[in-house]
Amino acid sequence: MAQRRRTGWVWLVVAALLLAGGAWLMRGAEPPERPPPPPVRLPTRMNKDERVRADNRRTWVPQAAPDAGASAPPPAKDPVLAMMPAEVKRGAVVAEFNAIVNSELGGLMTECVFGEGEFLGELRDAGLDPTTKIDRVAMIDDSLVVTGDFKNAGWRKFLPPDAVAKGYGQQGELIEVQREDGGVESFATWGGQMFVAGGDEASQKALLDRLDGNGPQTTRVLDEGMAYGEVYGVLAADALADLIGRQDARLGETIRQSAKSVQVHMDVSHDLGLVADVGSQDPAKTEELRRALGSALSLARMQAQAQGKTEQADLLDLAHVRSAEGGSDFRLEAGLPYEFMEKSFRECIAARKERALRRDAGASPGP
Amino acid sequence: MRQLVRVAFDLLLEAARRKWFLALFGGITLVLLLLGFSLQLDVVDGAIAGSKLFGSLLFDDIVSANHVMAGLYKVTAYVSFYGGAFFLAIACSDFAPELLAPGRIEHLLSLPISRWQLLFGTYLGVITLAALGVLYGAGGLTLLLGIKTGVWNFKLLLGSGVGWVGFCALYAVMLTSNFFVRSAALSGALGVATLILGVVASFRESIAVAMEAGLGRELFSWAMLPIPRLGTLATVSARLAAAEPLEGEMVTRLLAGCFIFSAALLSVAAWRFERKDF
Repeated sequence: MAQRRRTGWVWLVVAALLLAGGAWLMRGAEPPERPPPPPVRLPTRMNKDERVRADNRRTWVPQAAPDAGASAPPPAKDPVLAMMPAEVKRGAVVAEFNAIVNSELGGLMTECVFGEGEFLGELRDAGLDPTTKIDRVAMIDDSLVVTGDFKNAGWRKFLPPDAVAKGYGQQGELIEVQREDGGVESFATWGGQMFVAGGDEASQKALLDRLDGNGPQTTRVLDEGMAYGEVYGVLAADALADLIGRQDARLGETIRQSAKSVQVHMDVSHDLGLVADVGSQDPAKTEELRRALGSALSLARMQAQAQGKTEQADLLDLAHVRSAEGGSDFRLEAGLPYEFMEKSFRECIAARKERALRRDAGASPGP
Repeated sequence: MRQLVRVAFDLLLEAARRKWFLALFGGITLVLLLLGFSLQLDVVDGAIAGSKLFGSLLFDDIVSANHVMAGLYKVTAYVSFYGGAFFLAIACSDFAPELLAPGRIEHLLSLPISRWQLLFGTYLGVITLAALGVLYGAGGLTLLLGIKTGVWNFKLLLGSGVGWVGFCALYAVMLTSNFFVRSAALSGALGVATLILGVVASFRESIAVAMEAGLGRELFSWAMLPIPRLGTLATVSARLAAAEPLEGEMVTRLLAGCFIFSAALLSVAAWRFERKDF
């Protein structure tokens, strides 16, 4: 009996070895494992370089009104952030254009967006080389704000001869152009470093007024602490709901009912990392939205994996929905690795070249 | 080896005495008869015009008989695999508890046979019984479909063979459980649970992707590694039955993995049996 109990352990060793051997055998019957995609940097907070960038951008000190007395001058501000309203109807998003076009993928991205066509050449001739002269591009509701070095007035050659320019505020200029339909299109420039288009004259004046420090000094929708990543801003829930609602009406409606606003940050320094913080309006509905997005991502991942679309599954693996600590808000994270972005831009360039070739072939006279 | 075969043969005789054959084969016959009366296939010059299962229309267009039969055999193989594994897990759950029952076990232990031979012989006997049942069921189904449609495809027998290998893994778990708790209900439940786990293990990577990266995902991936890929085996069985191409090495690895898993579980049972006093 004692002998039998002693030798009994051999069976367990044999069992363990057989289980390991079986696991090895069956693992070999599965498709080969792909290495996980490299981690993507997500812009979750301001880093040292971005802090320095923000400090260097504090260049604008608006002149105090003559009747304001001898109080201390207001602190220097970043002109773009000084333009921000207290709230937005659609959104306020700033893109660090220069940083993006000069990033590792910038060259490919520029070629994909602009190609090698006449447009880029004309801009360069006018002293508006987008790769060197443009610093930031911002969308504030319906207005487009472009900052950079516009001191060279070459860009004025794009204006029709009947354009009328008039000064506005401390350094602003409003330009009116007659449209073919009889209406008036207006643009604004500011200090040779800012160009404002879109919206109407009133909205452009409001932007310049805020820049000059006129009007109530309220909290801005986008402040310095939020200026990190290469793209940052705030989207109104309604704007996002409209955008998503075109694809998924139900999800769009849930966003409208639950979210207050969405703060987005995108890092494109190497890979593309996106962080979207969804502010809650109704905690219960926001939780519903968080679950809906989380399960949609999981389902899409499983579907991609089951269909053998491993690259798509890997990309979806980088997307997460996380609850904010101690609150009803939540964070959506997503990433696109460098290799994927590079491949996509190369495909875009190839497609653009093919289109150009087809166009040229169509335009050339026949024999 | 002779001792193993002797124990297995003794089990088959015992099964015949206890009318287990009758119950098992009666059950299979019942399923075949049900299918035989309800499946209505009209074959006209090599084409199937309509196929009705339980009165509801399955196909309403006229397509090539071979094409329809490949699909039909595929579905039949899937149903046979999962249905057969479930049926056998329940039908055979009572065998081991009965064989280990007081009275019979003392008699077996008094014979000049070592305990491990008794264990492996019992296992061999039950899986032989299951093989006969599978052969009868798959053969009957092939005959039934052949007579009904005029298209003879013996690949279903091969597919059922794969299903039988899957059952071998299930029965190893069921038999082993009896050396810890002698219960037919638990044995059957564990058989069904292993079948479900085997399907989960087949989608190990897809499911792991849906899990949050970290310890949980790693644990799941490792824990599923030794479990036989019964879901993939079901697909192999269906593709065999439908005469679709298969990757030989993958199939060999899956089948060998199933047998090795069974041997590992039986080794655990042997360890327990050696230490148990009756």
